[in-house]
Amino acid sequence: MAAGTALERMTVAVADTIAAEEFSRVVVSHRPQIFRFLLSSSGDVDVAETLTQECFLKAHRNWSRFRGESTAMTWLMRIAINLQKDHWRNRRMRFWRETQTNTVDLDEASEWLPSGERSVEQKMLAREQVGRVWETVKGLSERQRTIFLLRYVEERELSEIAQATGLSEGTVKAHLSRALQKVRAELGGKR
Amino acid sequence: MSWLAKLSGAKEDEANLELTPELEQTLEDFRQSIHAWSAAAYARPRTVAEQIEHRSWRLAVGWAMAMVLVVSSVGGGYGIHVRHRQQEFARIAATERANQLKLVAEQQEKLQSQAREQRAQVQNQAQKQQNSKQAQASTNVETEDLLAEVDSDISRQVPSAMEPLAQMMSGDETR
Repeated sequence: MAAGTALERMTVAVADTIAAEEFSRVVVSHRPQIFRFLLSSSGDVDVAETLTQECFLKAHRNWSRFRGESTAMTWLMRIAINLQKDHWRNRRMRFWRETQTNTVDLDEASEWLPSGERSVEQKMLAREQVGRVWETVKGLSERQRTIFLLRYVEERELSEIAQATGLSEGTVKAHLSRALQKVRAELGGKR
Repeated sequence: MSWLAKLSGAKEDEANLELTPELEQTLEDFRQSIHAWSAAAYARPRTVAEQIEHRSWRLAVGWAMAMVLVVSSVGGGYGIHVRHRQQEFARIAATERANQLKLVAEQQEKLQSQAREQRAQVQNQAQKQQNSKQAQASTNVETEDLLAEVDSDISRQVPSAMEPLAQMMSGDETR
């Protein structure tokens, strides 16, 4: 009986250690992506950092409940989406409609273009178009923006987006279609 | 009808999701710009020392405010207690003073009534004395009158020197 208890204790300890190691690996591999998603959706480096910390803290607390029904990335993304929603709701302010002192100017964000092998004119044009896409993203609804960013920035599959947002694939497609329509309209003409 | 509308809407959505090469390129640029911005922000040096300093400063301010709050609440509480006690004392003193004044007033009233009674008694006595004097005076008068009457009676009577004669006269009369 005592040996069994000791064995049980050891098993629990080993399981905890393994879980901690697994979680550490998940943090290392997924942290930059979660940060990037939160940065692109909030537009604020400090907010993105805070929410990333909160996201992994929440994930750590609930790690034992993670059954692997979806990928760890989708699970984390779902937590991040909920945190982001709560953050803006709680503070009763929306980044996209209000000016903040900490917020990075989104024109600056469009400056971050890879140089590649383009002419100066092509770079200028690309920068302008990226700026316009940013402007469109600003005007999207929260849901449309999340879906748009998950699809075209994080390159998630529609099924993953549906899992992360808790919507059906059809609804995700509809939101994405509307978001793209607006982007097309902003960029001008048929694209 | 509704499922037809849904179907056509779904088809429209599908068609909208098809990207032209230009749009695809723009979205790729957009994606790359965010990736680059995020990578730069993620890799930026963190000012841990400043944050700690900031935190310690905040902590100090927090402590100071907490102390001020505690001191003010305790001091305020003590002040209220002292004021309450002073008010209580003042109330008790006022009550005592009122009681004393009441007592003094009662005593004064008693004294006044006593004085009034004494005065009345004195007046009564004086009146009595006066009355008695008057009575005495009247009795004196009466006595004097009586004496005078007696005197007159006596004077009508025979003097002692004339006694033998009077006796003779009375003997004659009896005879």
